[in-house]
Amino acid sequence: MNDTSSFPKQESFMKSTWKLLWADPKGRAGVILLIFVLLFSFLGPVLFPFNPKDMATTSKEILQAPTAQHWWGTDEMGRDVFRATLAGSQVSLVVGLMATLISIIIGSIVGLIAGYYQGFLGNVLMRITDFFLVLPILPLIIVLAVLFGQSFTILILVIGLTSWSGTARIVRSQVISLRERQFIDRIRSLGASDFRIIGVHILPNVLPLIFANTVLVIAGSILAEATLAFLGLGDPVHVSWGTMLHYAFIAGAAGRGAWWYLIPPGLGIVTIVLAFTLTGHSLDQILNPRLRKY
Amino acid sequence: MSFLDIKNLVIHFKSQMGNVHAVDGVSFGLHEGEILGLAGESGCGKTTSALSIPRLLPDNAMIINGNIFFNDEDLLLKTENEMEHIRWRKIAVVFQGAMNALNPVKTIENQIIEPIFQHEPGISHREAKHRALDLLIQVGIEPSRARNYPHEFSGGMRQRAMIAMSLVCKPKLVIADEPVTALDVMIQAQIMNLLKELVSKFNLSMILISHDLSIIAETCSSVVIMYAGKILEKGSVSSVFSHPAHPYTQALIRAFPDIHKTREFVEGIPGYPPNLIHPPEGCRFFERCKVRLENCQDEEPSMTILESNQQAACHLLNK
Amino acid sequence: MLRLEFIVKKIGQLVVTIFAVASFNFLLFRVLPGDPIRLLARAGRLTPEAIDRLRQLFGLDQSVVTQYLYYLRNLATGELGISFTYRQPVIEILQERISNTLLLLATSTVIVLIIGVSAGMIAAARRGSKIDSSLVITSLVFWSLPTFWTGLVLIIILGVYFHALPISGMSTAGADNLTAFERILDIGKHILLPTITLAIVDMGQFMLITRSTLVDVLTEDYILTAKAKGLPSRKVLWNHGLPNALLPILTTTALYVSLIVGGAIQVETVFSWPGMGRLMYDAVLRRDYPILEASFFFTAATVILANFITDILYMFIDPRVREA
Repeated sequence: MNDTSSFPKQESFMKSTWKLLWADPKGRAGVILLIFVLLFSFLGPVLFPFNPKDMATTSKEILQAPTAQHWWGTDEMGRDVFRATLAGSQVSLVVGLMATLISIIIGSIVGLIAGYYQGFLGNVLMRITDFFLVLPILPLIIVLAVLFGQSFTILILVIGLTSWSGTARIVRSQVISLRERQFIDRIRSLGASDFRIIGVHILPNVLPLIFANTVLVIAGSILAEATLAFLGLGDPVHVSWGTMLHYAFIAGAAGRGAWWYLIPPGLGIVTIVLAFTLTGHSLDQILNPRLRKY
Repeated sequence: MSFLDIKNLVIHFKSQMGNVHAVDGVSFGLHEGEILGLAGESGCGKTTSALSIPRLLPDNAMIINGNIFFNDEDLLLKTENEMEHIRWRKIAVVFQGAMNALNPVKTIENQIIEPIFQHEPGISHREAKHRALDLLIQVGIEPSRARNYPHEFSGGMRQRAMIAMSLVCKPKLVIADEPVTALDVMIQAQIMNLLKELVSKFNLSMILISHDLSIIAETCSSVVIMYAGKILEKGSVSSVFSHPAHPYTQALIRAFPDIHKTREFVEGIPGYPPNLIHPPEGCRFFERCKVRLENCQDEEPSMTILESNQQAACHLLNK
Repeated sequence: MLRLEFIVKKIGQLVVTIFAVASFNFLLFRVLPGDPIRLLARAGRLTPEAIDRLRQLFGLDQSVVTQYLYYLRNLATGELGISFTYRQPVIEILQERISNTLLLLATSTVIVLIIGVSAGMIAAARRGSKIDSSLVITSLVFWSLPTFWTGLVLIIILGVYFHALPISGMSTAGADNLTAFERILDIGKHILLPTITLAIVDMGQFMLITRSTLVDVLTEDYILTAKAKGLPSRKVLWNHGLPNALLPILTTTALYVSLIVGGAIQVETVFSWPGMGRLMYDAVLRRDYPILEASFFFTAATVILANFITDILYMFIDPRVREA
């Protein structure tokens, strides 16, 4: 039968986005890496639990290259690097995800309000946003961590509360262009409530952009945690990849050529960040029409 | 028809959802000195057809079939290098100046002179500048404003600058793509008159693309009506506009009020053009047509020649 | 708007922002912790006379507002307190270190710009090709590398296993009798690894930004006009694409300065490069608050200054900006 309908039936948006993501080699690689990382960090510590108190008894076992007993060698306290790496994965993921949650929520709300209401409120919000954009991130989070402590929670708050500006700018400019395109002023004058307008007209069109941005922010948050931990500001109680590298560095692992101690946690960080970066970059291309290849 | 002759042009676009059959078997031609109007709704394939002449289609365009004979040479067989020599020198384009068609960080003068140096490398700077300023005067722009940037010009002035720029290498054929669409009505009239004047003064041939039939009626001698990648009717402007043969053309003309007639109800054409990724088998206008014969949905009508100056593709004409 | 008006307006914004950062700093270091005396004048670390002097200088026993005024005055006069670790005025320590960091940043920036922008241009010009994909993937991988880890890996490979390059410090210890040329060579050897480390991560970012900017620009209408004029694609890219792409790239440079400052902290730490970054790291370890406070301010001020310079340059390149 001849289908002469005007437009192709709208496949669910999520479904078509997923299809495009999987079709893009970068997106596919990112998703596969993500699954691998999630398996690694959730199954790993269960199958190979890490006991931080399980230290070396003889000096030979300290900073030992990989053996049959310790697949990835030992650290400066004689602990098994393989198990430590598995254990450290969770902290990186959790801190990254939670911090991103905070960052995205703040950024989206600020961007929405600034874009929708504009005027004085909008201006003030944008000034604050620009101020945070201009502050160099790493020095800022270092200072905040030093001043306010190093617990898990503080780290999440610090990273989350300092990285929202980028999202705010993106959301705001999208909302502004949507306002014009969807004739929001006219709809408002007809009496529709702001909540309704935002919910029906604006939010659905902004969410894809926020989503693509979120994935990239996760990558940044994980890197931020790792860097803070490396510099000695990580949570001393929970081992994360960044803290492992911190202790490795302090113990002079680099100068002593203890590559087995340095490579796994670092590679872990790279893998997780790359997984989110690849996925986020691919999503960005899909959801931003001008970047699309044919 | 030996100046420009397009035969059976088929152009598809690659897209993420499949191939778009943007131009599906289009043939038309131009005499020297003629102004041809290419009319139709947005998305009907008129710009694609016209821009395929200087081969300025985007990367995802595939010219599947056809010939474009310009001065008896098939342009579709030329290499990119050869086309670079033909562009602007023989075939120039006037884009919608109101949009971003002018480089925002270069002066108007700079952009007008640029093609002169490209195509006549030996020319002296003084002579090139003289030619540019001279053309600016011809289109009604003060030479003192040549050093301005595009954003300092009004929409109408930008369009004039685009026209001046297009003529600077003395082309034979000018393609004007919706030259006055974004301008207000008074300026529209001025610009269209300017175009007509320049065409006769410089002995040009022109293809005028527009969705606005009134502009085509005023300026062109022949017209091609396109819809969904096909030509539905073509012929001399006088014939087509006074007795349109195709239901679509009739509906189009009815959609534009005539200032001379008594007041009538202006009708639009309800519905949307068909999906060109899976184009319909029969007549493409079937969905929106008021007359629908039995074979219209399954059989595509071929061009019927009416008087010597008119052709239309409609089963009604074969009865 | 005339150029002069624009510059004056930008200088005004510069002053306001620096002022805002100074106030933010004050908030962080003097107000929020609750007890500034604890931070500035750690008892037991400084002599009682020194503590007294600090109390006078900073007005530590007076109201918050008065402290704020003292703070601003001190900042303007370069009175930044005394370091716990070095027992020296902070400003002297900063002055020693800042040129080393600037050297590192300058060398890296040159490399990043040259490689990043060229790679971005190649990728955009050949969009969709294999070269484009491999460049994009390489850049994404580079972007995902933690700077400090990259440094550690380079140390192990090039420094330890191959003994090719020195892995710490700015010059060879104990080598005092070198000619000027030999000194430069020595510093050059020492700066190589840190510079490469710093450049790798940001190179990827620059390449991606250049590429996406150029791709955006190449979809603009005036690019089609240029092509229609019969210009070969090389000229279209260089004469019409790049000048317009330069604008957002310039804006990115401002963002980039913010990033390399963070990168410099990591690189200087890993390679023991005697600059501001390493200073900050040591100050973190030893909780030397005066140094932290001052270096944070200077780092932020540098980034703001870079933004300002970018804005001014923007004005020269884009004729539309003056109308804002």
